[in-house]
Amino acid sequence: MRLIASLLLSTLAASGAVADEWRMQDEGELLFEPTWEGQALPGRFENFDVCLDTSDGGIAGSKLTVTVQLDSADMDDPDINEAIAGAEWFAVDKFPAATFTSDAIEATPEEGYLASGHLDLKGVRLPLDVPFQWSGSDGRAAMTGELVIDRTRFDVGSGEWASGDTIGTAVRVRFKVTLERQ
Amino acid sequence: MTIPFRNSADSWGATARGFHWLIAALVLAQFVIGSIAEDMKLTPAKLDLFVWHKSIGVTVLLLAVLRLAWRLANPPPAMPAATPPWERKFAAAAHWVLYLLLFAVPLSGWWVSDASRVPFKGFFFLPMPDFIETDRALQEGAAEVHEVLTMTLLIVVLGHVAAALRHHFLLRDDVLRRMLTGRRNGN
Repeated sequence: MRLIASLLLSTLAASGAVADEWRMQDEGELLFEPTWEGQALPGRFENFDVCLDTSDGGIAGSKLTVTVQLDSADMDDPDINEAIAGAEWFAVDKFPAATFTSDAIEATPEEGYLASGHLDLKGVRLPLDVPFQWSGSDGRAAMTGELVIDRTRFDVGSGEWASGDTIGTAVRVRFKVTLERQ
Repeated sequence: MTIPFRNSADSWGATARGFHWLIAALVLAQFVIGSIAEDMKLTPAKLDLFVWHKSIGVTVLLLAVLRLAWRLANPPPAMPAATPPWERKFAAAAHWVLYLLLFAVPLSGWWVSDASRVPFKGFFFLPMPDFIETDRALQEGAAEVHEVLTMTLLIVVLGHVAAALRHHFLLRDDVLRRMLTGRRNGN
């Protein structure tokens, strides 16, 4: 059985059909920055994973998958961390992870890329465009980007928080990750 | 007739009375807002109340500076002639403790706010100086200091009110009246 499996794998590798994946290395950074009474208050996700599947060729045309463990959201304050894990914010008990999956990645005129896809967050699945820059050599690359998400589209900060008067509705998201070709 | 802004030998001027009652009202509001906000569950209203609490606290601190300067430049009216020496000393000491707390309570509150993670703009728009790094342990320590000082202020204020009422109703002198109206008995 094992022999057959390894034979199959080597055949696949030889034919070049094996998934060509880039995976995130440890030093990745995923920051989210809401506003608190009008002032930016940054936080970060400690646990997340980025995977870029370039089996079909270059970066354009590849597939990007980002998975974020929501209980790893850290705003550097135990009270705030407890609050954002609760039902009105991330509801981590019911929705432990958020996932972005690209449908298409295209090169943009500004020497970057745009991954258009969907974000699954708190039980809501909505289209989202993620712009990013890609720089690197054969086996190792840096991927950076920034976007703004309206948290209310995903019901993050529900009830009294939805108005955005105290905690703004626009949340800036920044990422900077290093990927290695597997 | 001109309004006597300065203290006279036997009564308080309009400025001293203005400082006294304005600060008294703000301190009372602070005590109410602070107690309510602290016990509330985390909602936008709670965050807003704390912005008001901190904003009024900074205002009290500023007023306390001006008031102290005015007090030092303007000798207070004399105590009633019948006041025994021990009571004069006690009253003077109690009033300086009140002045001290008018600085210490807002400053300790500012310390809590500054050490916390939460950004603060005075009255929702005024950027405030940030003196210290966010430090959870320091924030909790400062919060305890703020609480103890607030309770001390409450006790001293209650004593102050009781003493004023004693002067008015038991001793029947003009100590309360001259802070209320600036007038003396029989004037």
